[in-house]
Amino acid sequence: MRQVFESDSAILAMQPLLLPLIEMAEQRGVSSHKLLKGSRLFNEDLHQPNKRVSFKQVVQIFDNAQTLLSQDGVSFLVARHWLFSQPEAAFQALLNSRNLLDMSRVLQVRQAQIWPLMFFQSYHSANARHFVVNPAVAQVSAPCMEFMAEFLIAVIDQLCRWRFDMVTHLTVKLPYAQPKHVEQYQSHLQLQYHFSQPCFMVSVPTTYMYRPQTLALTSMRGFYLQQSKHAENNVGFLQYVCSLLALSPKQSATELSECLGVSVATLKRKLKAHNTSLQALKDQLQKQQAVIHISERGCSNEQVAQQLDYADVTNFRRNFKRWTGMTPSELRKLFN
Amino acid sequence: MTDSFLKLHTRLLLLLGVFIAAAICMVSLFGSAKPASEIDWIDCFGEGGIAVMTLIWLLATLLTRPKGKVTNLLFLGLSALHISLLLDFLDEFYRFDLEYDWLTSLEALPATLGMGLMSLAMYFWYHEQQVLNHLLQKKERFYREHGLTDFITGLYRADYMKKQVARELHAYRDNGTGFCMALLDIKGFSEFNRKYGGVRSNSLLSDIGQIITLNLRESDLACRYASDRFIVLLPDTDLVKAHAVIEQVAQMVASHTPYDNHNSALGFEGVQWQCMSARKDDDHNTLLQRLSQSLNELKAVAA
Repeated sequence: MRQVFESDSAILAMQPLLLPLIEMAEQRGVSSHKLLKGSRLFNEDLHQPNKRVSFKQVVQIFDNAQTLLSQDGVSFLVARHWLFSQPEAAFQALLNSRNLLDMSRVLQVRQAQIWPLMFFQSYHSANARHFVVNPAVAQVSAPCMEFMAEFLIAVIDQLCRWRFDMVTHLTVKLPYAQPKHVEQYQSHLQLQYHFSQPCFMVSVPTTYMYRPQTLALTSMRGFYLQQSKHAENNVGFLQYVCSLLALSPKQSATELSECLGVSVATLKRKLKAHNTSLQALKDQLQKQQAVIHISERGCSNEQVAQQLDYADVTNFRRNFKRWTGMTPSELRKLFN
Repeated sequence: MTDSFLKLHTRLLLLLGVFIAAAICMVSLFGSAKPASEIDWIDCFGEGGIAVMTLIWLLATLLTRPKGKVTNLLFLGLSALHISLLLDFLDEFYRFDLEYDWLTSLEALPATLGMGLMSLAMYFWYHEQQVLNHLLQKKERFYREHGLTDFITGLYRADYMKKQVARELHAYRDNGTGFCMALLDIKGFSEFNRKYGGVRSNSLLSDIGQIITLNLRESDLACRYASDRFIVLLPDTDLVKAHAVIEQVAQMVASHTPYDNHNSALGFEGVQWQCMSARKDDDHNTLLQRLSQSLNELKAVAA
């Protein structure tokens, strides 16, 4: 049974990421005190091996790091360090997967142990796979989103260079405008990236999903999966709600609250505490589906409206504009 | 940079202690305390405040400067000023006995002497700054903004370069003086980083930054771009000349040998670089983007 954890549950073991981050900040003249400001954590706390932190605290630290150190590209540097110092059995299972497709399956079942802060939903179009990525616990501030996105794409970039030798065929779409420190992207990344996109999405051509991972020992994959079987398998609050919504997108607050075993008022309060609402989550899901249909599958407005269960196209167009700030045809133009 | 200079100045601090002790002793020996009713507290607060401020300036000076003539002069000047102000402050609480009353008139003397010393210090400081400016020549152009420096290499960051490039493009459109940009990337830096650790890598970055600046012409500007990349602006230079300059820089970098703590040489292969001339229709973003792109292509071919 997966345990759902909330924004302020102190259950994340983030030392492999936070300690290098603190050290790198100090090397660049930013004290740990400044970096941890507002998180109610002290450097000494993190040196206790069993110290667990909450998502809220992590978000605060990422926010500080991005505000103070984005020019130094620490998100990219920490990602590199993190990738090459992963002791988790679950991560070893990843490194011994047959190919990227297999990797995405391992990640699906062991995500809580590898990267519990964000989750992905997978879609496919005629010749590519698309992974739409969202925060797993609560909606986060813009600097924090930028930090997490930079961290994640730097890990993906390095991993694909190291294990597959095909990184230049990957495309990442980022949900924010080109930042001032774009030189960090230019210098650290070999994958293709685009800013100001409606969703955070990683796309891989289908043929590369099957390219074998050269350094993998596939027999070890099962071994490490077994090894990591009994480790904690918690799932973030938003991720859990989104998975329920994905199963039945039209469900009401009452139905959803029954699934979660809480009252409607509690559900609303919890969603608010996680910086979102039921409508916002429904919109998010529909938006990403619409974007995939339009930009990746080349569907017409009529087709998308039908897929998303809209009675008429005008209504869909209006909502699409509200979600993304552009009309479907403007999005099509963006990709042509 | 991380170590404060304060440790170097124990003697000066001791001397300051002696000065202050002497002033206090003198006042208490030759004077007698005023009754509380005669003390003007607002005056005390004002004069005490000034004395404390000069003491803070004094400590700040010692905290931020290495040993040397300029530091000594600044120290003596500020100390003398501080003593004068301290005497003035103590004056509020003590009255000199009649036979030592002439001491009151000496109160302002240390301040005069101190200001003289500080003026001298300023003169030498100016010369010192000239020398430092010369050292900074290839690291900055026209203006100084310490917030834009990179902590690891001491060079300016990409932001500073963007401003300079924007300026240079402006000049290009106005009077047609073309310029070139070069981007240098350390070969195998991530392997170096994995093999020898962050501290070694940072010092490699700093070394290479120095070598690049040393081997540029006086008019050129080098900044740290991002990660293991350095960027160079070559004003009023055609592509052929720019190639020659950067080729020379690359050779010098390639001949560099980094060492570890045990003085054994670490593996290091030099840099890959790309150089291109600016176009009139560029803005600084597109120019840097184009440069970066073409270096990536070069690296892909080399790999």
